[in-house]
Amino acid sequence: MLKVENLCYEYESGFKLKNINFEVKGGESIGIIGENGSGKTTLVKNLIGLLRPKSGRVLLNGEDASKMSVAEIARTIGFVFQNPDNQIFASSVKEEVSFGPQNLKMDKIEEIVNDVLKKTDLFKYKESHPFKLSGGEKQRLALASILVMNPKILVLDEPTSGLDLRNARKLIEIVKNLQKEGRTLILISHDMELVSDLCERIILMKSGEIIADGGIKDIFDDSNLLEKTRLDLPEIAKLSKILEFGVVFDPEELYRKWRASND
Amino acid sequence: MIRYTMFLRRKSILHSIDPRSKIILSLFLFTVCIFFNKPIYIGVMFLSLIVFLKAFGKIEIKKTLSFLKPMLPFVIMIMLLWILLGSEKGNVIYQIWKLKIKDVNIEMAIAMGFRVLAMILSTFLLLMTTEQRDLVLALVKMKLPYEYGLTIAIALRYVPTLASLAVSITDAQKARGLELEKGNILEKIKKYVPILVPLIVKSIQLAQELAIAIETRAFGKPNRTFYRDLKFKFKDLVFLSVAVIFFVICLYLRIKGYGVLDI
Repeated sequence: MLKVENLCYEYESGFKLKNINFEVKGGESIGIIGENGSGKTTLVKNLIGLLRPKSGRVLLNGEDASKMSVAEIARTIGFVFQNPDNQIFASSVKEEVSFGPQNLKMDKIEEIVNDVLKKTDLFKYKESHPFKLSGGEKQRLALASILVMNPKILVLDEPTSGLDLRNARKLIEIVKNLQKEGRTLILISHDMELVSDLCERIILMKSGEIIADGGIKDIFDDSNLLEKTRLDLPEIAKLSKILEFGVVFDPEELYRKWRASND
Repeated sequence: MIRYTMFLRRKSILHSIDPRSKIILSLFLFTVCIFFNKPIYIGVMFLSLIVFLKAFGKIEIKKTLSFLKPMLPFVIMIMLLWILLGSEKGNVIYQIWKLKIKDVNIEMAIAMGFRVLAMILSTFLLLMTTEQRDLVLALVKMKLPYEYGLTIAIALRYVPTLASLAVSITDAQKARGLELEKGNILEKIKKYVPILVPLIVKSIQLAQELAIAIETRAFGKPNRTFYRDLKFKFKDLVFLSVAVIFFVICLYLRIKGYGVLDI
């Protein structure tokens, strides 16, 4: 579905993305993690066409994305930016959400908008002014504004940052439903609890390079890698490693393993 | 990449001079530019300024020219206006329909081109070698009320913040299919609404937060002291004296009629 081949990018400041290679299959859930300044957002901006690779290429369903406009790429890859306030401009929630489909000249916009507002639990605010929504609702509005363009790949940049527990849980639930629909997920986050909850594969970045790409449990089990990247594991994974049960994210699974070891 | 400040950090004599001396030098240079209108005088002054910046400010000639490059369309426009609509005196050297191109106007156009560039450079000299905070502090020390000084400092400080915010907002809207390049002039203007609305809203929010933040830190209390202070040293006095001598010589030459075209 998405293939990145030998992608290199360089800012004038000297920061570089070096020889990035990976492939994303339909329905996968991938977490891109790494310290601040490791190149996560730069990589994603190259994927969605906001930045263009200096060399190498991005293939979307086999087609070279360098020949596509950002708007064309947006039909396949939807990027939900971290700060929803950076995109809200309309005077009602339904107008805000319908902005993307109008740009892409989609049909049956009202029907699609209503459907997405229901999925993101915002239908009751359809006529409300977006600036009056709470932080959590605004974040869901940002998600709805991208989801409405029906992208096959959804990229979320720190989606729960600054949200209270209730709103974060609500957003996670919505994302999980989207995963069940078969949508591909790319998550950029520092929140390892969230990454372990939503992703099965990790792309680990450091200084503009991919230093590891693999299953989440394999990467979280690699002590050398964790030390090198100063990754902070979820508390439950730390506990399960201390108890020598390997990497476990599910409390019930950990309990079962603990019971089994005691029996 | 966008440059938000013109200051170039170097270890040079010009950088170490008290900003008050540099403000006065800039004003002198700016005024001297108006004194002469013979191309040779003003041309030599322009070239000397570039060499002066290289010798005493360690600013590479290439760098100085790159700062002047965006001004070129403006300079060319002024030169063309002089060539086409200048003085009635002089000999016609070329005629296109009713437009007479005269030798004196060509001479004047060259002088005006150099004059504008020299005027710009005399301001750039100050901005390229003085940090914003020092510039504001110098203005306050030169009896500008602190409130005005702080206003200038905040305005300069927030240029990069707002520019980076504008880039983030544009990226977020492009990811929703907004294509700024397409359409006629009216459509293009209309397309800036989704960028301007969030930018204005965020700017107002920032201003409100900043106002509260500085008020909670006793802004407006009279007789404030300063963490940084400017000290006028012997070398500043020498620098200022040379600047005054230069200005007086130029003024004398102007009074004696040197460097002035008879038009």
